[in-house]
Amino acid sequence: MVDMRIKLGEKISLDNPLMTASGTFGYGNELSDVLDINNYGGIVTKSLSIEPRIGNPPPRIVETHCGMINSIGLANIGVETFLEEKAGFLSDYKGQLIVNIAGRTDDEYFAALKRLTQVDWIQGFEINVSCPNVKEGGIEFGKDPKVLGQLVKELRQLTDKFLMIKLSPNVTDIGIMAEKCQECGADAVAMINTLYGAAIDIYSRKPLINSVIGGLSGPAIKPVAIASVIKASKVIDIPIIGMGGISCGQDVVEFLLAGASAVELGTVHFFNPHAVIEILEFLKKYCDENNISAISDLVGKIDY
Amino acid sequence: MKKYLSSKIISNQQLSKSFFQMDINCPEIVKISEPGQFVNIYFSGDKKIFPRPFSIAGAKNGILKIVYKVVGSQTLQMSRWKSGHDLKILGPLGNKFSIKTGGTHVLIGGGVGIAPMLFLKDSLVTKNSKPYLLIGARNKDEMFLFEDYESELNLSTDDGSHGFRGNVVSYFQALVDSMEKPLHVYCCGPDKMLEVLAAYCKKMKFDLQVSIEKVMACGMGLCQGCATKTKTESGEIKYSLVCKDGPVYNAGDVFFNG
Ligand SMILES: Cc1cc2nc3c(=O)[nH]c(=O)nc-3n(C[C@H](O)[C@H](O)[C@H](O)COP(=O)(O)OP(=O)(O)OC[C@H]3O[C@@H](n4cnc5c(N)ncnc54)[C@H](O)[C@@H]3O)c2cc1C
Ligand SMILES: Cc1cc2nc3c(=O)[nH]c(=O)nc-3n(C[C@H](O)[C@H](O)[C@H](O)COP(=O)(O)O)c2cc1C
Ligand code: FES
Repeated sequence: MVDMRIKLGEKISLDNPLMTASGTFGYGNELSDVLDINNYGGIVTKSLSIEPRIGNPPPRIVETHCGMINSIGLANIGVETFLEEKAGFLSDYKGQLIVNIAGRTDDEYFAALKRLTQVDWIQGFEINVSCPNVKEGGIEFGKDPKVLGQLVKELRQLTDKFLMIKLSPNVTDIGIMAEKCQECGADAVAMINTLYGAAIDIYSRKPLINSVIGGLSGPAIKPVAIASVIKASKVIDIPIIGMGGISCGQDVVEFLLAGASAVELGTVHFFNPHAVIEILEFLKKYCDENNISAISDLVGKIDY
Repeated sequence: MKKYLSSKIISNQQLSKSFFQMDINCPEIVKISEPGQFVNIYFSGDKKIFPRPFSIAGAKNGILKIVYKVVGSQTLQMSRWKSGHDLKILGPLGNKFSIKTGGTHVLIGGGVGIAPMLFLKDSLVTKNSKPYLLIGARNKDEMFLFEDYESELNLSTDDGSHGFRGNVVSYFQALVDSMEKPLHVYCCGPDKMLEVLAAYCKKMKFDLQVSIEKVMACGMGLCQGCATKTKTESGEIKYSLVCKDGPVYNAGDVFFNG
C-alpha cells in the first residue's frame, strides 16, 4: 500500500496530493453526480469576494491549441450566499476545504477573510492575487513584491488557519514573489494562475473574448508551470502547491519532482470529468512499480 | 442526476450531405432525459480540448439519438466513428422545455436546430398531442427526412429547392391562420432566426420558448464560461449559464446578441 498522504506544513494534512483549482470546479456540488468528491485530498472553491460579482460580459471563453483563454471576471455568489447555500454540502466533505478569496482593495480581502475564518468547516485560504481578468485588484496585488508583502502580513494577522498565496506567472521572477510570501508569514504558495493570452478572429478581426486579453490555461501552459515551481522551490521552504496544465498522472509526478508538495487540477475537469480517479490510479501504480512507499518521497526529487 | 459514461455507438448514419444521425447505447442517460436537454461528447488526444455539446434528438428503448452537422474538426471526427466505437458521454445536461397543456404546439427547427425538436415531438406525440413540425433549411442538400414522424411535417428551403420557398419563419407566418389557437411555439435555430421569430411571437402574443447556443467548456456549471445576458421576471439584467440554467429560455428573457 502506497502512503498517499501529504502534509502541508503543520496545519493541513491531505489524504492525497490532488486538489481542485479555483474556478474549474464550481462550488463543489456540480461534479458530485459523476464522482465522489472525497477522492480529492482538498477542494479549493471558486474565488469569493465579500460582495457577489456578476463577472464579465460574453464571450468569456475561447478554445486555443491545447488550452483555452478565459475572462470570467471572478463572477461569484459572494461570501454570505456561499455560506448559506453551500454549507450543507461542503461540511460533509471529508477532505480539506480551502476557500479562495479575491478582492479589489485591501479592505475587501480583509473583510472576506475575517468573516470566513470564523467558519469551522473551512480549513484554510488561498488568496488570489493573480487574476488577469479584473480591472482593479487581482493581479495588481501580485506584481509588486512590496504591495504583496504588505497584504500577506496583514492577512496573516487575521487568521491562524492555513494561509496560502496564489501567484501569477505574469511577473519577471516568480521566485521573488514566493520569497516575499514566505517572509511575510504565508503557510504555502500556490502556482500558477493563468498566463496572459489573447486570440483574434481573422475574418471579423474581433478579439475572441470580451476583455481582449484573458488568462491562458490547460496543457499548453504546463512547461511554464513546471519552471515556476522549480524556481520557487530553490528559494523557499514552505510548501508549494503546483498547477497549470495537469491532464494526467504523469503530469502530477512531474510537478512533485519539480518541488510541489501537492497539485491542483483545473482545466482538465472540462475535458475529463473523471481525471481525479484516473490520476489516483496512476499514482498508486507508479509508486508500486517504482518501489516508492510514500508519495511524499517524490517531492523535490528532480535529479539535476 | 447526470451520468458520465463510456457508451457504444449503435449506428452513425449520413442523412444528407453534411448531416448525420448517431444512435448511442446508453440506457442510464436515456431514462432521465427530457426534451431540451443536451449531452457532451468527449474527444481524446487532440489540440482541441473542449467536449462538444449536442441536443438530445431522441431517447427511447435505451438508445440516445443525436443529429449533427459537420462544421469543423470534432464533428468531422464524429462522422468517421463506426458502429461499435466507444465514446465518452455526459448527460443529460441543462434544463428542458416546459410543455404547456391545451392549445396547439408548433415546433420550429432551423438547420440543425431541428435536433431538439425531434425529441420534443416524440414526447408530445406520446402525450396524444399532434404538434406541427416546421423544418427550415438553406437548400435541398441541407434537408433530410425522417420516416417515423407522426405529426404535421412542414418543410421549407430558402431557395425553394424543397417544400415552401422562403425561411421557416415566413413559412410559419403563412400557416398561422390555419392553426388552432392558442399557440405554444418552441424553436431552435440560428440567433438571427430566433430573433425574428421572437419579435413576431411577441407581436402576436404567442408564447415562445427558444433553445440557444453558446460555446461551452464544461457543460455543467463548473467554469461560468457560457454566460449569456438575460432578464429576470422583475426586469433585472443578469448573466445566466446556458449549460445549467438553459439552454431553453422564454424568448422574452434573452438578448439574442448577449
Ligand atoms: C446546447 C447546445 C446544443 C447543440 N446541439 C447541437 C446539435 O444537436 N447538433 C449539432 O450539429 N450541433 C449542435 N450544437 C453545436 C455543436 O456543439 C457544434 O457544432 C460543435 O461543437 C462544433 O464542433 P467542431 O469541432 O466540429 O467545429 P469547430 O470548428 O470547433 O466550431 C464550429 C462552431 O461550433 C461552435 N462550437 C465550437 N466549440 C463549441 C463548444 N465547445 N460548445 C458549443 N459550441 C461550440 C462554435 O459556434 C464554432 O464557431 C449545439 C451546441 C450547444 C451549445
Ligand atoms: C474558467 C476558469 C476560471 C478560473 N477562475 C479562477 C478563480 O476564480 N480564481 C483563481 O484563483 N483562479 C482561477 N482560475 C485559474 C485556475 O485555478 C488555475 O490556476 C489555472 O487554470 C491553471 O491551471 P490549469 O491549466 O490546470 O487549468 C480559473 C481558470 C479557468 C480556466
Ligand atoms: S460551460 Fe462551464 S459553466 Fe457553462
